[in-house]
Amino acid sequence: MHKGLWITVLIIFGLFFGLFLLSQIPVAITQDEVSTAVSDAIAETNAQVDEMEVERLVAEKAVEKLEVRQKRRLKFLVSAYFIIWLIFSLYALHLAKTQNQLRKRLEQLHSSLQQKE
Amino acid sequence: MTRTQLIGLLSAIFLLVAIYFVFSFAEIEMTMLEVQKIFYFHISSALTVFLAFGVTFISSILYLIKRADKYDTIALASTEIGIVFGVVVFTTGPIWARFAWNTWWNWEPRLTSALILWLIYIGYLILRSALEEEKKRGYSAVLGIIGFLNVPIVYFSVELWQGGLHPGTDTKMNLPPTMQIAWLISWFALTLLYLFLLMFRYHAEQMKIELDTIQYQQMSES
Repeated sequence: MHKGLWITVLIIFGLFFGLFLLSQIPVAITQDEVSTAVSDAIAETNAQVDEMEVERLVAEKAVEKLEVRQKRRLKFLVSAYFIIWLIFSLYALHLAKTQNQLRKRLEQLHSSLQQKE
Repeated sequence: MTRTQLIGLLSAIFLLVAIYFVFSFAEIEMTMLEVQKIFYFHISSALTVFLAFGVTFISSILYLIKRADKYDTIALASTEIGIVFGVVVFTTGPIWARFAWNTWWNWEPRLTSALILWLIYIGYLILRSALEEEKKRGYSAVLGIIGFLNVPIVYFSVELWQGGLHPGTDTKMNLPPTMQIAWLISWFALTLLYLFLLMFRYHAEQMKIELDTIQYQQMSES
């Protein structure tokens, strides 16, 4: 069998295996983890001073957490669009390269045929 | 300017327009927020995969009826491009899934049937490269027709088997107007891109056939 075919078959098996492994890994966040994160956030605000100070510190912490979440969302969005353009660009480049090589080879052949005639 | 170059230019312009509409015009969805914007190119790529395999299906039927090589070339080019769009679907999908459903992959009906469809057409390319010149066109045309029977199964899998993660087929039609416009423009831009790649790939394959024919003639002469 062609070398490229073996590589394709290996990639497919790798893909299946990778997908299988990924579907087995538990990624759900538990209730305990959420409770711990909330307790940590409250503890980090040092909320023992006056109410205004507590409000300010909690607001700061909330903004910080919202920013972290937004960064995470943007990371997902940027990764997806980066991959989309990467795939299309690589394929278009591959096509352009193949077409150039074929055109050169054809020109060479045509000129050698003309010389023979 | 050739027709292929014109389509290429149009697809580049419409892709830029689509990006503008996706990021500046369409409103932000309140559950997924910014991540929802993956939807526009993910769904459009999936629909382009169906279109590509549909072209393979029609070209394969025409090849079996008329036995003209150009239909086989179109089927091959369309399959290859359909697989590339499939790669886009299978990479953007897990990114969405990880955020929305907290998992990269789930063996639910839509995902599993789509993966089977993609693998059938990978098989189509493997079959072509494994068979001899005379046999490969006919056999791959048959596979191109049989493979397409899976497309309606993939599309209606969410209705056929309940309990999957994907929403119903009518979700796209119930979007707010700004999102719907952005999605339709993205879909049109990707369809133009598909058309451009198809023409580009078709020319490359035609050149390869011409090259093979000349080389074969030279060999037989010597």
